[in-house]
Amino acid sequence: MLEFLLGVAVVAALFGVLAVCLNLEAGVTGLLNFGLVAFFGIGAYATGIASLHGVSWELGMLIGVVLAALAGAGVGLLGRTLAAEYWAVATLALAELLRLIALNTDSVTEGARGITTVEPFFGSLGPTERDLAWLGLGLALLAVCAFVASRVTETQFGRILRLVREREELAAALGHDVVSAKVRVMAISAPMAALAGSLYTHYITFIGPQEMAPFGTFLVWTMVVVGGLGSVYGVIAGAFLVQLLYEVTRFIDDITDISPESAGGVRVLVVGAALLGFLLFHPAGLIPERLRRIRAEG
Amino acid sequence: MGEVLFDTLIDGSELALIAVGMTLVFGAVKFANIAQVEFATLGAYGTVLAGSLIGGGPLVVEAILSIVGVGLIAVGLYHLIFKRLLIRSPATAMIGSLALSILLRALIQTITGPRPKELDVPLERANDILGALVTPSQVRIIVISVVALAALMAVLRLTALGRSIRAVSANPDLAAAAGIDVRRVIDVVWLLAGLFGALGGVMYAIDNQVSLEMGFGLLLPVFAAALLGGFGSPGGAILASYLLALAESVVLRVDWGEVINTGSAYLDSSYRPAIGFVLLLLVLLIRPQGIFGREARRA
Amino acid sequence: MLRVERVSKHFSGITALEEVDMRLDAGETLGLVGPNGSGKSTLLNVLSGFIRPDRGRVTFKGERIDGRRPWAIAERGLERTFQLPAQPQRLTVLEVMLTGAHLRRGETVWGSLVSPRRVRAEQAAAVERARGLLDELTLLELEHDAAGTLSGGQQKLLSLGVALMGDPEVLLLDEPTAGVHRSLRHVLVERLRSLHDAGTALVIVEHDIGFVTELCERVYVLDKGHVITSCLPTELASDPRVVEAYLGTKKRPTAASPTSASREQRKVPS
Repeated sequence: MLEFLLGVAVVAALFGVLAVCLNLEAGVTGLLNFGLVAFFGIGAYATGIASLHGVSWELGMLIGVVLAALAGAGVGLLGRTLAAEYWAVATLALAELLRLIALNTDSVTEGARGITTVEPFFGSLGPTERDLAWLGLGLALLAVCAFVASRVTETQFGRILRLVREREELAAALGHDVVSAKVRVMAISAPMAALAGSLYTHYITFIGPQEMAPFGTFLVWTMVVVGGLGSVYGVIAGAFLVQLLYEVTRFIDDITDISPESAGGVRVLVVGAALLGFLLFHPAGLIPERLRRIRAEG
Repeated sequence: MGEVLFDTLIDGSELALIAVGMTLVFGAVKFANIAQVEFATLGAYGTVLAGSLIGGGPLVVEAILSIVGVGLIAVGLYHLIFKRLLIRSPATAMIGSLALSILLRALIQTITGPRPKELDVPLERANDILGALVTPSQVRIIVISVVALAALMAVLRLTALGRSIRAVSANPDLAAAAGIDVRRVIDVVWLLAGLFGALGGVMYAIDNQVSLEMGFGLLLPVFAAALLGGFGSPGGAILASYLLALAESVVLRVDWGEVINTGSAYLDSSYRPAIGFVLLLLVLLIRPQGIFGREARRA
Repeated sequence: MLRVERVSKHFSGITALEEVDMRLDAGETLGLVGPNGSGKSTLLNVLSGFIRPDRGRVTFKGERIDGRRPWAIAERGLERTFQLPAQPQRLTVLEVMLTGAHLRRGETVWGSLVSPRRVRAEQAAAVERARGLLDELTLLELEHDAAGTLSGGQQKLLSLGVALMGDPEVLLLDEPTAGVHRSLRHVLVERLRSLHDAGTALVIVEHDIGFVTELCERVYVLDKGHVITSCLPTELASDPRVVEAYLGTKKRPTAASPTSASREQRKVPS
C-alpha cells in the first residue's frame, strides 16, 4: 500500500510540473496547448537517446531542456498568425508528428520497442528508500517550477500575459509585443516540461512512443481543469488528485468483472468524465483563481 | 497514374464526408469540433453493433441504422454538452470536444474491446481500371460519397433550408432578425455533421477496418481540409479534401531518393499521417484563411 | 504630427475607406464623425495598426506607421481606446491600469523572477500614478474589483485611464461617451480638456455632436469611407453635405444630453 502510494506521489509530482506548465500557458496566457506531451517527450527522448550512446545523463537532460526551449519558442511564434483555436490544433499536430517520428525512426529512437538502457537514479538504495528519494526530487522540481510560475504570474510580465489571455488587442494597443510575450512564456514552460520528461524517464527507466500519446496531454488538461485553471496551487492539487484517481482505477478489473482489455477504456472514461464534468459544472476548478490585490510595495 | 486517381477519389471522399460536417458545425456555432472525427468511428462501430442486433441483415441496412443513430447522437451531444460549453467560450467548447473525443473512444473500448473489427464486406475480385486494381466496393464508396456530397451541396444551394444554413453561418444575428429559426438550423447542422461523419466512417471501414483510432487518425487531415477550404465553406472543404488526398497519394509515390540524388528512397507508408500533419502546418502558416475562407489570422 | 494620405481599405468587395486624407497637428483636438458604417472605426484601426491599408500611407512624427504592429505604434506615443471596453474579468482595476504602464524592467523574464529593488520601485511608482489617475476618474474605490464587473460607463473611463498610463502624445478615442452615464460625462470632458491643455493631441470618434463641439477644434466628416468635409464643429449642422450623409440613416447628429445651459458652452476651444 505504501509503495503504491509512494509511486503515485512521485508520478503525481512530475505530472504536477506538467500541470504548472500547462497552467502557465493556458491558464495564465490563454494559450491552448493540446500538444504539451511533445515537450515532455523531447526531454524524455533526449534522456533516452543520450543513454543509448553513453552520453552522461546531465548532458542528456540539458540537451532536452535546450531543444524544448527552442521548440517552445517556435510554437509560440506560430501565435503570431494563428487565432487561439487554430493554434491549439497546430500544437496537437506537432505532438503527433513528433510521436510518429519517435515511432518510425528505429535507428534513432528504437521505434516502438522503446529505449530501455536508461540509467536509474538512486540505484544503490532499497525500493522504499528509492521512492522516497524520488519523491523528494520530484517535489523539489515541482517547488522550483511552481515558484518560477507564480513569480512570472504575479509581476508585470504576468499581468501582460493575463491581459493577453482575455483581451489580446488591448495588450497590443498598450504597447506590448504580444508575440514576444507568447514566445517567452512558451520558452519558459517548455523546458520545465522537458525536465519532467527527463526525470520521468529516469524513474521508469524506459521511454517509448506510447508515452507521447495524446492521452498524456489529456491527463494534464484534466488535472488543470479539475484543480483550477489559473491557480498554481489549484493545478498542483489537481495533479495529485487526478493521478490518484487514475491510478486507483488500475484495480477496476480486479474489483469488477470487466475484461482487462476493456478496463483500459474504463480508466480513461473515469478521467474523461472528471474533465467533462468539471468543464460543464465547475469550470473554475477546485481552487479557483483569485483576484490579486496589489500591495503598495509591489 | 490510375492508382493515384483512385486513391485520391477514395481517400478524398472519405475525408470530404467527415470534413464537410466539421466545417458546417463551425459555420453554425463557430468552434472546431475535435470530436467530429469520432462520429466516423461511431458510425463504423455502430454498423457492427447494428449487425449483431438485427443478426445478419444486409450491410446497407445496418449502415443506415448506424448513420441515423449517430446523427441523432450528434444533436444530443450538442444539447447536452456543447451548447453549455459554448456559453462560456469557443475555447471551452474545444477543450470539451477533445475530452469528448477521448471519452467516446474509451467508451467504445469498454464495450467492444480494443481489437479492430471488420465490416461484413464480401471478398471481391479487383478489376483493372486505368491501371489500378479497384474492387466493386471501392467503386461503390466513390459513387455513394459523390452522390451524398452532391446532394448536400444541392440542398445548401437550392433549398430554403440551405439558404438558412448559409445565412446563419454568415451572420447569426442578421439571420435571426430575418426570421430564421436559428436553433432549428443549428440542430439540422449537427444532424448533418453526425450523418455525414458516420457515412464517412462506414465508407472508410469498408475500405479498411473498424478500429478505435480510425477517427482520430483522420483528425488532422480532416482539420486541414476544413481549414484549407475555409472554415464554414462546405464546398471548400470538399474540394480541399480531394486536393489533400491527391497530395498524400503523390507524396507517397514520389521517389524522393531520385529527387535528392541518393538512390531510390520512398517515404514509408507509416508516415502517411505525417503528410497530413505537415500539410496542416503548412496551411496554417501560409494561408490560414483557406481558399474561400474567413479570418483565421490575427490582424 | 499625424498625417493620413490617400488611405484606402476594402473588405471583400465593401469599401471601408477610400482616398482618405487627414491631418492632425501637435496638441490639436480633432473630431471624427459620420453615420454608422462610414469607416470611422476602420480608420482608427488603420491608425493604431490593427488594419493594414490597401493603399496610402500614415505618417506619425515623420515616420511611416501604416502596416506596423499595434504595439510598435503605441510605443511611439500613439494610443487608443476601444468602442467596446470589455474589460477583463480576472484582472483588478488597478492591475489593468498597471498594464498600461511601461514597466520595462518588470516586463522581462529576469525582472519577474528576481525582482530586485529597482523593479519594485518602478512598480510602486506606477501604482502611485495609477491610483492618482483612478482618483481623478472617480474609480479609486473600485481599484481591487475585477475590471469586468464595472458598469459600462466606468469601464469606458477605465480604458481612458489605462491609455493615459502610457503618456501618449496622440490619443485616439473610439466613442468615449457611448454608454457613459450623464453624471460621469463631465469627468470625461474635464479630463480630456486638461489633456488638451497639457498638449496631448486627441482624435475623438463620436456620435454625440454636442460632445464634439465642446472639445474639438476641427471635425472630419466621413460617409461611406470618404471624407466629405473638414470643418468647424459649429458648421456641422448647417453643412448640407453633412446633413445629407445622415439623412436616410436612423442616426442623426444629435446634441445628446446637454441642456440649453451647455449649449452656450459650445464654443470652439482655443
